[in-house]
Amino acid sequence: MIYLDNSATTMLKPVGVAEAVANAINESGSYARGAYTSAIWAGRTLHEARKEIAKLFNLGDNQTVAFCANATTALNTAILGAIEPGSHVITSVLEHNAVLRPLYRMQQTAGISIDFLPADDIGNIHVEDAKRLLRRDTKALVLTHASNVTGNSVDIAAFGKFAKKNELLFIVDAAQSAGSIPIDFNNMNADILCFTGHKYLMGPQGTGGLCMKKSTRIDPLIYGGTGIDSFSHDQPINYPDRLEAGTQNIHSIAGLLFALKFINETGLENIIARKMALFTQLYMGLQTIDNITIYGDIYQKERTSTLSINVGDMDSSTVSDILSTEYDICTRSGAHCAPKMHEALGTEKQGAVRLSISYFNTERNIEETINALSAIAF
Amino acid sequence: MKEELSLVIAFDATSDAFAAEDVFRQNGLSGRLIPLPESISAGCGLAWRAESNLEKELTDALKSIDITSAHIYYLIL
Repeated sequence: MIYLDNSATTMLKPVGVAEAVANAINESGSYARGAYTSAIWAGRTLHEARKEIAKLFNLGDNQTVAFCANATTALNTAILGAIEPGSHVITSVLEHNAVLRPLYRMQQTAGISIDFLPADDIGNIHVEDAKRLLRRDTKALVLTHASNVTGNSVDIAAFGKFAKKNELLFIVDAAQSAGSIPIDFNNMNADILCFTGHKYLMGPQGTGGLCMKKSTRIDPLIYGGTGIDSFSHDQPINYPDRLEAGTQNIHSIAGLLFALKFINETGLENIIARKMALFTQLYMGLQTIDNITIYGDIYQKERTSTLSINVGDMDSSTVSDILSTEYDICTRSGAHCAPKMHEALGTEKQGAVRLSISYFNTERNIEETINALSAIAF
Repeated sequence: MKEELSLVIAFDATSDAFAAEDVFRQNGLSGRLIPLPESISAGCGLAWRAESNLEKELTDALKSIDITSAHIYYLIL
């Protein structure tokens, strides 16, 4: 099997992640529920994971990490919990439904209004458009760091400066960029950065979180036990504890911790270089094939190792199914939960075949994929 | 078990308790996490129990990681 759906989830994890999960099942009690050995083990594991995230994303003083189930939960927490009801929000057509649907929900229930930054022909958005959309009542900017369809990155530094200058709450969706593009949370002028653990951080599913300034006010999405202040009717006031109700998924976080150590020890720059070498091999192979359309800004200095294509006017699901059944190559077809991106690219009917590369793919994987698509396109 | 005067630090957040344990260990300061004594606060949570003569070293270590809201008690435990 050749697995090229890493933007959905990385299947090949660093050797040791699965063992770390198994070990945690045997060792871990419940975080914050006691001072006995296994509960302390859980707490230390969570604390170590916070430290590794802080190292990877360059968190500064008075910034912290709240863990939750995935990027979707983190984005729902940030959007529903921090955006002011009745305000105007700027977002973009690049966004995933994990951003769009909570915003639409707030449009219906909290009276927010939304404007979308348009994308150009190769799927990029521009800060000049944000300046044009800015209103007196604009209070928040919500942007992905990288499109899950094209792999294009967004100039977060430029948008961060724009957000800071205009005193906007800036929420960044790093679901695709975490582990694929360097993240400097302390200097990007973002208030909240949402990530998942199971994509390019290469940890288990069921892990994710949000990085935040401790001074940012976020109402919890989930209310419940925290192991502290049991007689209080409210969640603890301090972050991250305020956002971490319920039993934490220490088993999977132990796996994520192992994966984060792998990334920090290997060096993110080395991981990116490896993935982008394979990405370039794939692009160079496909761009010579007549009848294949490639989407996105391939020559961006920083981007993810995701490439979306179509073969002639073939339904993307047909191409993906042939790749699976005849070549045992795993790709994703359709709309990738990013409807406005497909409208912008003109692919809302056809969808696109997404090929997303991980650190553990090989040159041979890419060569076989190029050959398969060449045969399908012939 | 012999009772003795202990310094007990209560935290406003469990995440602070584990960050404190980490920095105390890095600084070679002895002690351990214990269930928050009911005499400090009814409910639950974690506290750091240490020898009674370590207040300055412990508070300096907490300041180094920006934990300023910890509460210090002296209890016979």
